[in-house]
Amino acid sequence: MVSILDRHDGTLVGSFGGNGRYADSSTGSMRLQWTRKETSAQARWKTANGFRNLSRLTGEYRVDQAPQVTGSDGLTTS
Amino acid sequence: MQIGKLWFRDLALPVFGCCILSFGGSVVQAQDVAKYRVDPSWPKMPLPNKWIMQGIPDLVVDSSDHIWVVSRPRDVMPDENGAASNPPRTDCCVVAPAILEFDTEGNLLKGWGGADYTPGWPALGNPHPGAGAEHGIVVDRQGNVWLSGSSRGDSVQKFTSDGKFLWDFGHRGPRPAPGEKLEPLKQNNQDTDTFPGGVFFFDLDEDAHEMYVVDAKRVLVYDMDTGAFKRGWGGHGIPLSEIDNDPTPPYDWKSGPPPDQKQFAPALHCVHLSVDGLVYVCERGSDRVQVFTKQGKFVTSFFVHPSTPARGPECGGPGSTTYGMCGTTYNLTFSHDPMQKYLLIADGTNDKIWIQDRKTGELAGSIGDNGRMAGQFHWIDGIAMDSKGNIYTGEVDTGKRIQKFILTNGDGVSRLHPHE
Repeated sequence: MVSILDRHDGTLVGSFGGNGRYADSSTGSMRLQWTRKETSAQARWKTANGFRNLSRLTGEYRVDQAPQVTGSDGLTTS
Repeated sequence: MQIGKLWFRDLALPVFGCCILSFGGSVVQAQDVAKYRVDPSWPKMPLPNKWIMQGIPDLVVDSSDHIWVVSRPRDVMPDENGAASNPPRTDCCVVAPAILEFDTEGNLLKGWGGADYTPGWPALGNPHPGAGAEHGIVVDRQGNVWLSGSSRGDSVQKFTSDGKFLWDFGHRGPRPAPGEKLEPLKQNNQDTDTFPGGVFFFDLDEDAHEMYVVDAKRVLVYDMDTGAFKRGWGGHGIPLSEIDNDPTPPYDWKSGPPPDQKQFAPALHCVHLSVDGLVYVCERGSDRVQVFTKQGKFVTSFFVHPSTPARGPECGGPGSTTYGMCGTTYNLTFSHDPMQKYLLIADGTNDKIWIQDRKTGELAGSIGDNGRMAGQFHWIDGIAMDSKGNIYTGEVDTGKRIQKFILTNGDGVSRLHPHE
């Protein structure tokens, strides 16, 4: 598993992956938004199967509550 | 004949059931080719309930093109099932049930079975049976699931598709007590009443209501409704009375293919029936496939990559740091064209699928290689094909996965009949 932490306070904001041998085509999960002001481009992680859309880069570096749905790992994904 | 790799993990081979075209009196052999490409997004991940698959010794495709997979739960290692403890030691995973049903899109439809599921479940009471656990699977036309076990005291059991127990084939040998020190089994190829080491591979002839079992150095046929013995034979069709009960002698694999011999060279690692009523037996101890009529008359045999050691002292098992595995014929499936022109043979030693003409044994191509990436194999053990010609494979040891190879036929679109 890859865990995504806030660099300053260590808050867990998301994760992707899991134990196994397969290319995992599900959407990576991130329960908090990672935003900055100057761009609205989306951050994407490419796997063997496609893209992971984990977060939007829309504002200054701050963590916002994002519109969420529950992910398979109990976290939520935007 | 055109054979070649087109790009990553693609295989091109003469299309199954290739047609003959006539132009102005000249006869032209159409050279359309079948092409396969691994589908890295099959099956869909993650599985529900944090399930993780284990060693896959066998898988089959049923009449609805659903893929039934045997996943041996007791292959699980401590670093794989941390979520099963209370409290969970790790975020993932929990070992999946033994019987898993997928559709061609990779959705998991059903899962049931596992240690102690029934009183006769394979390797009952053994927490670490290794390869001597759940093994062969067949799904009949009614959708019932038949499962064999390959430990002492095991047999074949029949279930509904939902996992309700229906019938036990019997013919069980004694089941060892927990912790009992076991002596090696001695062959008795004349005994048709019991399978002391369990049943590894079997197949059904539903029209004749017969079950075919391969065991030691013989093929045995039983009534699939009553379990009554009907007939049997040995290598090259010799009668059961002429089969010896001795270990098969080794040979010098560096000096040539395995020697031809009348007796089968175990392990017999598959049995399948073709559309034209022939019986195909994987003779892994000779890198060979032998073919018979249903009455046991020998028809033909052919080698599969026979430069690979088939048996002898230089054969390693799971975890061996000295030698790799031996033998090239782990299992096979038939191509999906009406005449089943080709055999697709799973070779867990070379980690390839060999594609050979079913009648002549001529090599037409291969898929895969040793490795952990999509389209590669580690100990491929199971193989099956759906009605569209897509291939499904299963891997054991630390491979522990299933893969799908899509018949693209050159344009990325699967077709019911690729030669149309």
